Amino acid sequence: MFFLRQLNHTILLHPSYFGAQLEDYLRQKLYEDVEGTCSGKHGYIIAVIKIDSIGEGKVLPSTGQARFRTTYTAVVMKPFKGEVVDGRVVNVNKMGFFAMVGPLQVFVSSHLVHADMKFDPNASPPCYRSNDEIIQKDSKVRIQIVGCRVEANDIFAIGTIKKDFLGQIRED
Amino acid sequence: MSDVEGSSSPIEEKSSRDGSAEPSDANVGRKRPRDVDPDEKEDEEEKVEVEKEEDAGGDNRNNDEDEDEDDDDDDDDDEDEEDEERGEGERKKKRRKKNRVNRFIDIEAEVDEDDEEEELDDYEDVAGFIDEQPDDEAIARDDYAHRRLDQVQGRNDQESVEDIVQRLKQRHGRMAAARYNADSDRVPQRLLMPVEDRDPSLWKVYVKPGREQGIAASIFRKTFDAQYSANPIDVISVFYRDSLSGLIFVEARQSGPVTQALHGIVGVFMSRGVTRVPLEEMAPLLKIKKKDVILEPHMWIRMKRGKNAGDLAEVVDVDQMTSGVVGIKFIPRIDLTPREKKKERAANGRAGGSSSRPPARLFNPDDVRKIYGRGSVRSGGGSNTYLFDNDEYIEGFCIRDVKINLIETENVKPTLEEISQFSGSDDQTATKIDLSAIADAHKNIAASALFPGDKVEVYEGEQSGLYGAVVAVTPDVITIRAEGGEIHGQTVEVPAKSARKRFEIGEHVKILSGKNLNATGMVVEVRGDVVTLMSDQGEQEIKVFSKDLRKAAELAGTSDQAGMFDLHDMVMLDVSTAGVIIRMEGAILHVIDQNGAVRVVTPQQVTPRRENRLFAVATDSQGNDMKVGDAMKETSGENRRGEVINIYRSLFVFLHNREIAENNGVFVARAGSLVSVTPKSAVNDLSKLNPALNAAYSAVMPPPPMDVNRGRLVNTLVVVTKGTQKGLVGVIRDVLGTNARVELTTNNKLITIPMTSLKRKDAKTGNTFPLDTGSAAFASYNGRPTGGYDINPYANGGATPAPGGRTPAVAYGRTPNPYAVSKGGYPSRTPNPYAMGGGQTPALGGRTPAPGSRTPGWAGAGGKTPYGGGMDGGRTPGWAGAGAGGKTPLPGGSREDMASSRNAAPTPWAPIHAPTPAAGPYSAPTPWANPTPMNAPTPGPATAPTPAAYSAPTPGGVFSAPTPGQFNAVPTPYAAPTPAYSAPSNGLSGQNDVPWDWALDFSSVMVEVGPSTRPGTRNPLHFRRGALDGQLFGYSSLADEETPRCVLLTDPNVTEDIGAEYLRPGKPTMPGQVVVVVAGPARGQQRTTQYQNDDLWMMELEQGDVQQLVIPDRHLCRIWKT
Repeated sequence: MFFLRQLNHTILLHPSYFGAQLEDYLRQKLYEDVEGTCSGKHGYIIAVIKIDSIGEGKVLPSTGQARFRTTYTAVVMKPFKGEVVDGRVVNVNKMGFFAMVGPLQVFVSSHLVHADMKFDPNASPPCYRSNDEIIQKDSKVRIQIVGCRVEANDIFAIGTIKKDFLGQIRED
Repeated sequence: MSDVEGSSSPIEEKSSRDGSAEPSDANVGRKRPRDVDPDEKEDEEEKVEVEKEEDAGGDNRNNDEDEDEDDDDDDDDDEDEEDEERGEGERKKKRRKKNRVNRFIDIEAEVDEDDEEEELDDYEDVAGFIDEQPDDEAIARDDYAHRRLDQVQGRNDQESVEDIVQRLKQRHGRMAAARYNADSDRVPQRLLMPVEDRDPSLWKVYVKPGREQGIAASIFRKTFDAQYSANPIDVISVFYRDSLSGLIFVEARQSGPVTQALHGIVGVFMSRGVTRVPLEEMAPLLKIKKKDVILEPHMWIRMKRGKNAGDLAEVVDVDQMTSGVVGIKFIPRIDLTPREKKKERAANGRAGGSSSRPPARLFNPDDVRKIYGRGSVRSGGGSNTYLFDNDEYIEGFCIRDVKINLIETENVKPTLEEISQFSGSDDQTATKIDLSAIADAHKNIAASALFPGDKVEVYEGEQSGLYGAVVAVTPDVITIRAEGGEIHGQTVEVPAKSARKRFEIGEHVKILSGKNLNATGMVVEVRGDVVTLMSDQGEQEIKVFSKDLRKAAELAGTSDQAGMFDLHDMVMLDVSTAGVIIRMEGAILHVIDQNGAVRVVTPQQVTPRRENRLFAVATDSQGNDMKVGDAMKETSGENRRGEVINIYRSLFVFLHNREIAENNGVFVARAGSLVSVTPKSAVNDLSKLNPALNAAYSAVMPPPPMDVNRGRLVNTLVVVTKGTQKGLVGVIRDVLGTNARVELTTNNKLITIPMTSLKRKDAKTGNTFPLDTGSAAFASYNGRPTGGYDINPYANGGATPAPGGRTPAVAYGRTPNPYAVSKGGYPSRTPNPYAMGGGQTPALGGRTPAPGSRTPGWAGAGGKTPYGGGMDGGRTPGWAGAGAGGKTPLPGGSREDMASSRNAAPTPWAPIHAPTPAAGPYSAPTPWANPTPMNAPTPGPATAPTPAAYSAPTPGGVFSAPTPGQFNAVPTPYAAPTPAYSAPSNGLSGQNDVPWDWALDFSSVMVEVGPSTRPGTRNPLHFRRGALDGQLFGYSSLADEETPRCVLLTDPNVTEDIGAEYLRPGKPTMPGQVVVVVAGPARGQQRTTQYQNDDLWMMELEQGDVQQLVIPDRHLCRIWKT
């Protein structure tokens, strides 16, 4: 699920960067530092929408570096149990398949695939196949997230397609 | 036998009792309930002989006391009435007596039998004795007590009380308990307890563990030997307990006899002393725990003996339970190795076969026939039933009736693997597992594995189906708070064994026991109490019992590292070999070493280097830094991609890619064969010194010394001018101090020769020059005019100068740092970071010193020292142009030279340096130098032989350093290695190659307004504060020298005079537009766009084109009015 969140980021700036472009450095740094990262608490930070405040630089004693506490608003994505998401399959093996839902990797175990869907290791690329569905690399799938493993800077989810309306999304 | 019975001698009687070891013994007639004591399980056949002796000896030994008693008995004239009652009279009594005596022999005596049958019987004796002790003894003592009472009364008249007491104690101390049961059938247990001073003590002796039995037997023998000697050993009994290994207990009144008995016996640790067992501990020591063995079909048990010891077996038949036999089913271990033929085995006896244990596998009649002969296997009754070696085999399993004491019923703990062998024998589906059977096997331990807070499910009993969380746990009953259902929220008590842990799909769990101990994973399937989870560590599925799981912490980040090692940690396999953990199986680590080989090691074999990944850096094929976490790609081979998980010695890079099945996705690559797949961070670490600033500082520092030449001389064509090899031509392969290793052309031999005996030889002309090593000398020798700096006389010598030069130019060109300006005192040098609209400029500038480190010359000077790069940047020939007045074209130059001069900006000392030929080698290959006119007209002869040398290192650097990825992937002419320098028509570089005043060279073009691109400008960054930024204008005339007059495209009435520095080319937006190339080799050409690929445009083919021109869109400017 996507949220808009106001977040903080602290940047230390070496005195050698003090100057006319100081703010540009900070902006650039902020974007680089936070966009595309993931925190277990907030989820993936997709994009910084707005820099609310670049903060006042405080020169730290002893190092002379300036510390800026930047406040920004970002779109974050955090998966939740029970959420239904669309993703793209990136890897298929006999244990199941991995799908990327934006930055989030979701694993769908072969146990959580409909019983009539079988792994076909001989197909190229390998796929899960039933009578009317085929899931292989780059297939689009609709997945329900059944569990998330949240780590300090990563989130990993397990999904199921063993329910109605889940599974391959046909492009038509 | 009859003799024996008739005899009144107690000794004889004893032997009769010994005879009872035979099945025909009287004991058989007198059937007693038999209790199996799990504590006393000895039935080793080997010990049989010893045992017998002990039995005999034990009895004899106790005759001492018996004689005493018999004396008393004789004195007794009046026979007990009770004797009559019991009918048998003397004989019976004797036996009873014998039994009583048996008590002294103690349990050791029960040990073993000739064969198992007898063992049981004999055992029965002892067991019965133990069991019936209260009854039997009560009676026995009863009459005895009567007799003695009379006697005592008689004596009382004559002797003092003290004497009597004394004597009584001496004589009958051991029997004292009997005194109290004169008038009762049952003796209170309390009264049977030993009493201080009255009863002999137990002495605890430490012996070698495992030798208890033998030592006890030795003591027996010794005691009996000494029995009738002058010096009898006054030990009453000896015993040991299986549960107390390394201890035997000797019963004696003093410690002296104990020491005497133990003297000279091997395996006794006399040094640890002989300790007296406290009175209160004596009884528990002898207490025999009675355990009921309840065997049910489908129970799992383990076998204790034989080839299959420790193997799991299933109970199949309990019909003969009463006779102590149970039918079990197990996977046989039949020796199918040919060398152990049946005959041989027969010859060796059984012991021969036990040397190595044959593997357990299902019985295959054909295989067995092959080895043991056709007749060995007979077909049994049913289908797939065979008889072999007196065993029955059904469907591959061996069915055998075994005695209960040969099987282990406690702590069986069957593993899933074992059980699946049983169930999955026909077809390998693990789903056939009989879950209830497993559950049964685990009943006993279920409760201990539960903790408050666990989610459980009640799966049997009246609460079946109830879910809840454990509130409290007692050994047998757990209290759970129900969740859901009618009794939601209530607290219920259920038997621990009927509850099991419950996990939901998707839950993150940790394995508590088994071979996957400590593995974590997410639950993907729950079936009964078997949970399938997807391991976090390796990409694998693990099936475990739910009892072995617990919920892992929500944030597993830290808890996973409880162990010493974590996945992808670096470990040192030996001093020079590092590896990365790719898999952990319990305590076993799978490690991939720096050579890509996988090893399995234990944690003890390696040294962790966890912190390594925090600091490890390496340089990739393009001279960029890489750190742990960067996404990299191989430049050759399989072109595998991966994320850097560790770096060893800045050379071996360990990468991980989930999609690679091999080695759990981990592979090793050389740092030099990797390239980043993501654009490099445009911003540096802002908490460090601005590298660009650094570069400026370093301009005043001396160049890094000496070793610069080392690399440069490599591959130089030389001629030997002195010595025996004089006149021979060769190529320098290596430089070792003042010596060079030269590969002679004539015979391909490598010779080491002082460089003073070498002269450089020009491959073209054949002229020789001194082999100058220092840059000054180089200059003097060279004596080249300023313009010739790119015609490197050493060019044929190799690529050396190129990388060095390349870097600083880029670096300096981008110098964004205002400080640089003030330091140098040239205020206008600050370039605009937005000059190229990319905003990356400053960072790129910052980055560049790193590539500089790849210069062979700098490498020696300490790797990444940025100052070297900056330094050379300072001397970029571009400076010369700048020094000459900025816009003033250099000879033959056009405005294009500003491209370079801009980078350098006007510095007074630039001109001074410019002519320094030393600058040449550094600057020559820089992209900046390239477009300069000086470069362009350079006559061929010099450059002709060199393109390879130059271009090899350069294009990579040029294209990748500023924005890796931007050009790399596109197979454009720019990527072609050679043209970069061989023709002045190429050599594009980063964004800066469009000079800020490009617009002045063109007219009638569309321009876009943006931030100033002019380095060091004092004008505001944005024209009119950015009001017009991004708007498209056309311009056809100049308002003044540097200010084009622009007309807003959308509204031709609006005319603005905008400084050239704010103008950028109006990029083409669609195919078919007429554009002019404003920068790069094709500068000035008018073309038509045809096809766009990201930011590259392919031009329509025109006459004279060898191939289609592909030009970055920033070099293109749409024509406004033609």
